[in-house]
Parts: sequence; structure tokens; C-alpha cells
Amino acid sequence: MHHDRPPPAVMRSLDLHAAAALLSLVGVIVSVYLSAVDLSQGQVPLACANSGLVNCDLVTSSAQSRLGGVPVALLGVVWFAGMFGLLAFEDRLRLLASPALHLAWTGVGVLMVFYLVYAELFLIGAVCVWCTVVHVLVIGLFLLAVARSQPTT
Amino acid sequence: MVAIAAAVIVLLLAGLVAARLLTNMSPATPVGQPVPPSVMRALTSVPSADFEAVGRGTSNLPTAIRQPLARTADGRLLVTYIGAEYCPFCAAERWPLIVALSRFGQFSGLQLSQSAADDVYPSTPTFTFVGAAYTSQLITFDAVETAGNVRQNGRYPPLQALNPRQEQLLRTYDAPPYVPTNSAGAIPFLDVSNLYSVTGASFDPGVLQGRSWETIAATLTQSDSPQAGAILGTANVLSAAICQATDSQPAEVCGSPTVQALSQTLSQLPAAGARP
Repeated sequence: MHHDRPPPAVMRSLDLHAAAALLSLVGVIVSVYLSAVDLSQGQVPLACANSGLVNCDLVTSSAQSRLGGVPVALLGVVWFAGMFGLLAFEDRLRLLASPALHLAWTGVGVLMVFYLVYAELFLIGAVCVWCTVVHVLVIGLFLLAVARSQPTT
Repeated sequence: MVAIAAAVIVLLLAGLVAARLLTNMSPATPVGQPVPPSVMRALTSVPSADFEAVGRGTSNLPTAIRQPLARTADGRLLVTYIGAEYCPFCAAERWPLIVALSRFGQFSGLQLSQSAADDVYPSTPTFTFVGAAYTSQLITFDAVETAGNVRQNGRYPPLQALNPRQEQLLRTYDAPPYVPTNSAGAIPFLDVSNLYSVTGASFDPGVLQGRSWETIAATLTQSDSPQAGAILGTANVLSAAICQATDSQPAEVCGSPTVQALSQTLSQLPAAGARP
């Protein structure tokens, strides 16, 4: 019997690509939900604790939940969708497959995560579980970009 | 490489958390943040049944002034609030004032605030009218917060100056015979279109002590709670006072049994300025 199995290095690359695409998709979904909560002005309920340290309501309605008047959640939709786009079309457009581009894109995301965690801890005094999920996704995507940028042997 | 990157990120995040825990900063408070939607909903969408269940609650009654109605140039009734962000009694009174006025119009731009940490009833959770707007077909809400809530060089920093009309109001109705001599000039001062005035808090600010905005907002649905009795009770009294000025408009507010009953109670108050 003859098997046409891709070499292990290619398999690893495909796995990382699929994992990154999955995280991006989950990020889009969570960010769309948080944007809907923000833009609907409370009509879409926020499923999260709203008292004490964990207070999604307070965080998502804080002054820091907007950048230049744009909801951070909406920026999250754009960022995750952009990441998904990079991954989806990198086969067709070689430029999109550039490891440097992926690292830069996700690096910006990680910097944003640091700012938002700082804002939660020092400026708002509360933590949002949904935001933490998004932060984990961003960091995960950054680490996958780092892994994908490593030369395969 | 991935492990190193992950370790660096985890270390940086842990550093942020550690810095927050180890610094001598007072706990971060949401003061200055927009009022969260859940709190805003609790204040502005109180079910009629809850208002009815509380009635007057634990609210004091206002002082009857019964002078010609104060209106703005466009004919709207003028409700004037004069307070300060440091003042714990103002902190308490803002809760029912927002609830009551939200039955006649709509607030926007309200922010979380708290009374001074170094006064009685320290750090009472409240809101500030600085930067807020109120729209209503019937009422113009004229609010002024004269000072902030954190001392600078030993005194609370001035925020908004009184205009001549507000100064005149204070001189006239926040003075004898409308208030006792030792309370003249006290804040908060609330004037409901020159029909009624409130000087000081209408209830004990202690019922708000040690609670968060969210907790207080949540207790408004429990009509037997001290917070609902104080806030919704005072909101009912203020609503009744406003309804007398608006000629019982809107009907869904002014026609409620509690507001009507309280309106009758207010009508029986002797006008403070009247001589026997």
C-alpha cells in the first residue's frame, strides 16, 4: 500500500494554521457578542457577574471600553476578522502568509491586551470575564504566530 | 521560542497584578466612569408596582414654598439642584432625584461618584451631575455641583459656580423661615419650581454605606429593603411634588395611587413662608 501522507513538518504547520483559524473565529464570535451588548445599550443582556471584582457591566461601559469613541469590542471584531482573513487567504496571496505580518498583527493585539488589563486593574477596579476570554485568545494567537514563524525542518 | 514568549507574557501580566496588589494605592474605584447599564436600568425603569409597594417609605417631606411657578423661557418647569460632590447628604439625595426625574424625562452622561472619604458617611456611592444632561418635555433640570470630593490643599476644589439665579434661590429659600437658622445655606438644596424645597437629605445616608452602586441598584427591587424604602420613597415624594407643578402630567406617573396620595399630603403642608 502506498500512502500520500504529508511530511510531519507540514502536518504541524497545518495544525497550527487550523488552531489559529479556530481561535480567530471564536474571537470574532465573542467580540461580536460584546459589540452587540455595547451597541444595543443594554438590550442584548451581558451574561456575567456584575458586582465585586468581576463586573463585566462596569468594564464594558467604562470610559476605557472605547478608543477614540469606537467601542473596543468593535475593534476586537475587526482585529479577529482581520486575523481570520490573513489565515484564510494566505494560500492565495503570498504576502498574507508572511510570518512577520502575523507577528506584527498579533503583537499589536498583545500590546492592547496589556493596556486593557492595566485599565481593568488600575483604572476601573473590576475585571470582565468575557474580556479575559478575548485576552486569552489574543495571546494564544500571538503564540501560534510565534510557533508558525519558526523554521520547519 | 514559543515557551519563552509565553513565559514573558505571563511574567508581564503577573507583574501587573502584583503591582496592583503591592502598591499603596487605594482600591481602584469606578468613580468617574459612566453609570453601568444595569445600574442605569435599575434607576430609570422602576416598575410601577415597586413604587406602589414602597409608598412614602422612609422619606422626609419637603418644605412647602408655594410661590409662583418657576419656568424657563420655553415654558418648562424649573427644578434646581445645588450640591457638591464631597457632600454625603447630596450623595444620598441624588439617588431618588434621578429616579424621580427619570419618570418625567431622560438622563444621559451620568457618571459614578462618591462623597468625600474624610467626611461623615464617607465614600457614599452616588453619581455626579457634572457633565450629565437631562431632557424632558415638561421639566428643565438645572443642577450645579459646587465642589469636588477630594481635598486639594485642605479644601474641596471648586467645580461649578452658582449663577445669580441659583444664588438668589439659596438666599431666599435656603434660609429662614424656610429652613432653621442653623441650616441656612445647607446643601443639597432642591427647588421644585418654587413649590417645594428640600434642604439636606430626605433620608439617612447610612442606608447606602458600604454598598456598591450595583448592590444598591439591585435592592431597589426589594420593596422591604431600607434602600428601596429610602430611595423609592423619596422618589415618590419628589414625583408628587413635581406632579403638582406639571399639573398632573404625565398621567401614568401623576395618576398613580401613591403619587396622588402623597400629593394630597403635600398639599396639606403649611407654606413655610406664610405668617399665621
